[in-house]
Amino acid sequence: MNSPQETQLGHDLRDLVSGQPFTPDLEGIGRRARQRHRRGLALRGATTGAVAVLAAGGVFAGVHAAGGTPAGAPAATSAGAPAGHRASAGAASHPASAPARTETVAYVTAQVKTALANVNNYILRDDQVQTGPGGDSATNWTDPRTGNDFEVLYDATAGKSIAWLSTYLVHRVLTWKDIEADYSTRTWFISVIHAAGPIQGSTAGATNSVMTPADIKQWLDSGQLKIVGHQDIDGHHTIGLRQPWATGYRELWVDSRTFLPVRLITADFANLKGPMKNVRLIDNETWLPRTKQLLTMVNHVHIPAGFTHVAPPQ
Amino acid sequence: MNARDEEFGEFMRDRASLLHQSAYLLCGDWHLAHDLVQDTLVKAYQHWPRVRQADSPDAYVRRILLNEVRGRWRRRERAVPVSRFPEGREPVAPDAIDELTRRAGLLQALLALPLRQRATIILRYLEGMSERETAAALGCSEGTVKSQSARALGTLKDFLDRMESAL
Repeated sequence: MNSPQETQLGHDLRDLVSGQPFTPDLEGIGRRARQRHRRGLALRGATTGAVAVLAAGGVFAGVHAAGGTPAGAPAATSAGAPAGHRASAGAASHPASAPARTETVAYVTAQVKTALANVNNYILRDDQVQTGPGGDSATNWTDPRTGNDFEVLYDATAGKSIAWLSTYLVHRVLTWKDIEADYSTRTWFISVIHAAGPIQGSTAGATNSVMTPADIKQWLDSGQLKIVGHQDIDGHHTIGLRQPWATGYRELWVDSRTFLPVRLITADFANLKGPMKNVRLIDNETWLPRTKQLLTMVNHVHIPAGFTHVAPPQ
Repeated sequence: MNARDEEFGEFMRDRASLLHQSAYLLCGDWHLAHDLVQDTLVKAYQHWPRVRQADSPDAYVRRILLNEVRGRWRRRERAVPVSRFPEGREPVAPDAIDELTRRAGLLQALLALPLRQRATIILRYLEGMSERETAAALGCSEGTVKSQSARALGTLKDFLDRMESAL
């Protein structure tokens, strides 16, 4: 019999994996299994043939062995096949985190843009930490479909607060709504800010409130990027792109298999002195499945019980 | 479709989804989980006569999956940092959001466990396997399952306690 803690763990685990249906491709499985079987036979044939050649100790005997062993002759040509098959099978079953084959900036940025085109299938979790003095941290969950954002902020002095941030258009006027609950004062407020005037031209992408995939795409197009190397981040093999400027730089580390962003580092040393010179903003990105719980958390406001509604700070 | 295909298809249809979920909790990436399960099923299909005659075909298939995960991560397995949340905060009464945040952090803590402990937790508490079935799937004794499970639960509890105090 499980303890309450174990029962809770079971619920939590089921919750973590809910909402991801999976249907096995039985036809493909059968096809790949038969390919592997044939490949195995061919390899065994190649080995048998090679052993026979060595045992006979000469070219003449080798020719004889190849002719006399049915598997020998085809093995000579098919022995090389598995490597080719593996390469072509890669589209269906790629290695966990193999480095990209061609790592020019153009290639990597094109792959990242393609990957970002499909992010509507995820909820983006961004764990942001600020290095150096202060050391604030925040976790944001963003729904790329709605642009809504839920944030848990740990401020070194003010403590914890949570916020729902949404950006939308009212008659083409950009509007930001921030619903925030402060745990230190146990209060909450709603703040609505309108832009000075209506947006001229296209409003596409205007309602994003955080460094969204659209922002990253725009950043990739801004030029002056270079590849800075590879590193393993939280189990991902990544490729890094860096854009330097006079007083700092920004780096984007993307998974070398999926090309989805894994880490974004921003460092700007302008007007910073002493230990503040070491301040970096590090955003660790995780692409999560769109579970019912996450969608509720991001898109529905839930003020903790017992909090008092107050006017927004001026 | 021949009889073997039908039998295999029926066996997998009922289990593939759970296998996929387990693979996700083992590796933390849905795409990779998909690949791992496909590879597992290819191997299960290849050795189907052996799988169906095994004492527990389910345990056999879980073992293939674990071997696939091990193969992929052999050179890559590393701990995921679990200490991003600042310590020393005043604990507050948990609310619904805290609960959701806590669950989101659970995956991070799970991925930081050694693979065998992680697998033990997944088989026992996600798949609902008994200690005996888990031992068969992992190829170890029931005693090992108990000790691995206790260690993993201890680590997860530490993490969740720390997270709750941060919240």
